[in-house]
Amino acid sequence: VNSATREIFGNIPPWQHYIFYSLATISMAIFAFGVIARMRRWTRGKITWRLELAEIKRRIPYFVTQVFAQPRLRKEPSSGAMHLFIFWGFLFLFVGTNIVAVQHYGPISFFHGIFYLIFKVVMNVFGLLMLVGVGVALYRRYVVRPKRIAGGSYGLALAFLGVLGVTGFLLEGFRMAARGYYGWYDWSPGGAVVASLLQATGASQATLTDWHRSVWWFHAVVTFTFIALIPYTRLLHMITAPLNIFFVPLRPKGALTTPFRLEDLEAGAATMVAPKVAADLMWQQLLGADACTECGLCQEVCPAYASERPLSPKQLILSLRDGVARNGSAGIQTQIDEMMSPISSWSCTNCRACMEACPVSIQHIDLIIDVRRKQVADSRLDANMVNTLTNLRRTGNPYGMPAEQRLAWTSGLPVSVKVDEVQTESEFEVLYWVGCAGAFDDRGRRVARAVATLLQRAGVKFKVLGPQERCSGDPARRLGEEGLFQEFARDNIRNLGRYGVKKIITQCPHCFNTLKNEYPDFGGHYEVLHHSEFISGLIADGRLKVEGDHHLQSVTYHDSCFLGRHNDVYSAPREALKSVPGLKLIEMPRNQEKSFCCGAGGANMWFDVGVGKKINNIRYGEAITTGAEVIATACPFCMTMFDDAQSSKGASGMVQIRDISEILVDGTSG
Amino acid sequence: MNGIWVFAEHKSGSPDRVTMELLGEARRLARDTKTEVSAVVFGDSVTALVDPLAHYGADVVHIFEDERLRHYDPGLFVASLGRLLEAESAHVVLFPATTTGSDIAVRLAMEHDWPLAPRAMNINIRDGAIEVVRPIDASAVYASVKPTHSGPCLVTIPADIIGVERPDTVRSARIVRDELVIPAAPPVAVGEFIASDPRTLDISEAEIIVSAGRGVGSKENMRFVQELADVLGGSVGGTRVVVDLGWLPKDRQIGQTGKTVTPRLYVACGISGATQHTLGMKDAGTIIAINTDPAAPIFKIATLAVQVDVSGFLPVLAARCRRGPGGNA
Repeated sequence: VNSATREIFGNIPPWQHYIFYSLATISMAIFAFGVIARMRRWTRGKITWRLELAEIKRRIPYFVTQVFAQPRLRKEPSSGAMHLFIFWGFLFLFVGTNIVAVQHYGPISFFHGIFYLIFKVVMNVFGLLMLVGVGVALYRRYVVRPKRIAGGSYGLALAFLGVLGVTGFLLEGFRMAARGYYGWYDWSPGGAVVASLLQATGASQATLTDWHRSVWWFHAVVTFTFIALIPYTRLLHMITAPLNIFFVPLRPKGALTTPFRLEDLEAGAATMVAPKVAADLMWQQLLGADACTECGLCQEVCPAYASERPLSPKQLILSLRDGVARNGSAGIQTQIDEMMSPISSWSCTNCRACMEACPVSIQHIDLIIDVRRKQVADSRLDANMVNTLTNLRRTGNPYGMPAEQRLAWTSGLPVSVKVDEVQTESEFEVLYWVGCAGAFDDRGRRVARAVATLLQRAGVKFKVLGPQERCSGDPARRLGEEGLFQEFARDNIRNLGRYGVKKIITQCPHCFNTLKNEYPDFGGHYEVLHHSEFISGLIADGRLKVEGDHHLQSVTYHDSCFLGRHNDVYSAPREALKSVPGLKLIEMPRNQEKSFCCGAGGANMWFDVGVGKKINNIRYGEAITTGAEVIATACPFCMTMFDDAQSSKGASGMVQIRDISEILVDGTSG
Repeated sequence: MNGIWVFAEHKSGSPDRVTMELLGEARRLARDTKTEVSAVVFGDSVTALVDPLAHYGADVVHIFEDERLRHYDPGLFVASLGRLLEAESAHVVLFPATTTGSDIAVRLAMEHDWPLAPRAMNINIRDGAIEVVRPIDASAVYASVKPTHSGPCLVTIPADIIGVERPDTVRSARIVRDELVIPAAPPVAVGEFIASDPRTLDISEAEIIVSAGRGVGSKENMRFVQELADVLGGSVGGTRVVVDLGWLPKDRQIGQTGKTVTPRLYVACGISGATQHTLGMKDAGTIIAINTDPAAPIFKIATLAVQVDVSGFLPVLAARCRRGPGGNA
C-alpha cells in the first residue's frame, strides 16, 4: 500500500509538456479576459460597497449555507440533487486536480501511500456523482422539459462536464490497463472497471500506452476549452453566483434601498432621485443580472406570473442582462424601463416569493422599485396612483380622509382610548399604531376595535397618536415616491420621539415592516411588534385568558407577505389562534414561506394593473378548498382582497373572513 | 411676461377636477417665478365659480359671462381669450387636455403663432425659461421641449397627472369682467348642440349615476339598473366586484382602483359601501342607497336609505320616474 502512487505526466514525453503549458496559458488568458470584461461591465454601475466589505464576517454564514448547501435548490428534490451532485463532484475534481499540481511543483512529497489511496477513492466517488448529476440534468432538460427552465442554454456546459467526467475515468482505466494490475487499483473502482474491460479486449501494452497518451491529450484539451468557455457561457454562474450571494444586501429583508436623502435634496445637493439608465444601478444589481442561472424557480412562485400579468421575474432579470450586454456603451446607457417594462414593475406585489426562491440571491424587488421610481420621476403614473399620492400629500393617508376622523374607530369601545397631548413614557406600556386602514376603512375600524379590546382586557396601558398619526409612508415608497416616503418617516419619527415611544404594536403588517425595518435608517429605533406577536405574548404570559369560542370549529390562516416572508413572523399568529380551545387550524398547501400573495402588496391595493386574472381569487380558492369555516388574516389589505374575492364568487354558505384579533375577542372575556 | 394662466373648465357651478389640478400646478409655477395665477372662465352664469377657483389657487379670475357662451363656440372663445392673453402678455397658459381645452389651445397657437406644448407631463420654469416634458411616439419616448419664440406658451395637460391639492378656503381672488370679442369671420359656425349619450359618456363626467353592486344579484338584473339610468338620463357605474364579475366594463368602475365621481345624483343599487367603493363617490350631491342589509355602511353616507331588494324595487322606481312628478303620465 505504501508504494501506491502514480507518476505525474507519466507517459507524456517532456517536449509535449511545453505544448501542454502553452495551451494552459492560452486557456487561462481567454478565461481571464472574459472575467475582466464582465467585471468592467458591473463596475460601470454605481459603486458604494467599500464600507460593506468591512462586514465580511456577517456575510460568511449566509454565503457558506447558500453556496455549499444550496437549501433553495433542494426544495425541489430532483433538480436540487442534480445540482448538488454536479457542484460537489466538480468541486472535488477541481480541488483534486489542484492537489496534483501542488505535488508536482511543491517542495514536499505526499502523493503516495494512504493519502494517494484516499485521494483515489474520493475522486472516483465524486467523479461518478458528477456524471450522475449531468445525466439527471440532461434528462430533465431534454426529456422532462419543465416550463421554468425553458430557454436556458446549458447544452454545451453539460456536454463538456459529461465528456470531462467520462474521459477522466477512461484515462485512469487506460493507465491501469497499460501498467498491469497493482493491488491498490481496487481503490479506484471507476478506473478499475474501465481497465478490466480494456484488458478483456486483449490489446497489447504498447497499443494501450498509445491510447492512453491520446486520451490524456483529449482530456487536457477539453479541460482547457472548458475553462476558456466559462465566462462566455452559462457556466459563468460558477463565478457570478457565489459573488452575488456574497454581496447580498445586509439591510433587513423588508427594507427597500434608500436612493437619496431628503435632507441632501433640500440642501440643494445634486442628487439623483431615480436611476435612469443601467449605469445608474448599483454594481451589485448588474452583477445580479449576470448571476441569473435561468432556473425559473422565481417564475414558479410569482403571483403576477401565475395570474397572467405581464411579469416573469426571470424574464425581467434576463432582459436587464441582455439589455446591458448590448454592444459598446449602448447597453450600459439603456434606459432601465426600456429593459424592464413599467407594466411588469407595476404587476409586482412585492411579495418576495421570487427572492426567497432565488438560489443565487438576486434582489428582484429592488430593481422593480427602481423602475417605479423612474416612472415617478418621469410623471408616468396612472390616475389611481396619482390620486393615492395626492391623498397622501393632502391628508396624510392614502384614503384621502380628513385626519380628524382618525379616532372614529374608538366609538363603541368599553373604555375610552387615551390620546392626551403629552404623556410620558411611564404612563403607557406600548404605542398602538392603528394605521390608515384601522383608522379609515370601515372593516379595518372593526379590527382596530378588536385589537384595542384585547389590550384593554389584558390590562395593557396603551396610547394612540390619533390625528397626529400619519401614514407610515409604505404606499408612497412602494409606488416609487421616495421623497414623500421620507417626509412621512421624518414627521412620524419626530412625533414618536416627542412621546418617548420605545415599543410599538401595529395592526397592519405594512406599517409593521416600515416602522421596524425602514425607519431605523432615518433615526427611528423602536421595538416594533405586530399585534399577533404582542397578543400571543399576552396569552403566553397569562395576561390574556382565552376560554374558547363555541362558534368556531375550523380556521385556515393566510400568511401576509409582509409579516411572513419579509419578517419571518410565522408562528406567533398560529400560536395565538391555537390558544383558543377547540379551534382547529387547517393549513393551506402553500403556507408560511411558501404562502401565496393576496394581491394587494407593493401598493397594488391602490391601483389596478388591469391585466391578467385576479390574484385574490386564486388565493381565496385555495383557502376555501381547505373546508375551513373561517379565513383568518393578519393584514387589513389581505382582508379586503378576500372580501372582494368572496363577494365576486357570491357563493352561498360563505366563509367568514376575520382578523386574528377578532377571533380572539370572541375567545376571551372582558 | 406676466403670470401663469389657467383656462378653467367647469360643470354645474363648480370647476372640473382637472381645472383644480391645473390651478395647483399653476400655483407651484407662480411660486417659483414669483408671479400671480390668473384663471379665465367662460359661461352663461359663472360668477359663482370665482370662490372655488380662488380656493384652488387663482389670484385673479377673468370672467366672460354671456348667454352665447353656454356651450363651447370656437369663434367666440378663441377671439376673446386671444385678445386677453395678448393684452396681458401672459407667460404660460395651462389648458386641460380635454376636447375643448385642446381645441382652443391649438386654434390660439395657429392664429397667433404662439408656442404650443400639448399633453405635457411636466413643466418647469428656470430663470424665466420654460421647459415642458411631453410624450411622443405613442408615449414610447418623451421629449423635453422649449419655446423658441415669444408669445404666451400654451400647454395642455391631461387629467390625473398632477392630482388635486387641498383647497384653501380663506383665499380670495380679484374679479375682472372682460368684454366678449366677436370675430368678424369665425373659422367655423356652430349649428345646433346635441346632448351626449349617457351610455357612452365617461362616468367621471356624468351628472347622474345609477351604480350597481353585488346585491343586484345577477348579470341579467343589470338591465334594471340600465333601465333606471335611461329613465333618469344617467350613466351606469359599479363596484370593483361587479366589474370583476364581468357585469360591467372596467371603465365603469367607481372607487379606489376605479374612477372618482362627483355626480349630482348617485343611486347605489345593492352596494354595501365598503370603503374602497365609497372613496370614489362620497362627494356626490345626493346619494340614494338601496340595499337589503340594514347594517350596510352605505346607509351611513346616504341622503335617502331604502331597505329593499334591488331587483324588485328598481323596475317599480323606473316606472314611477317615467310617469313623472305627481304620478301622471
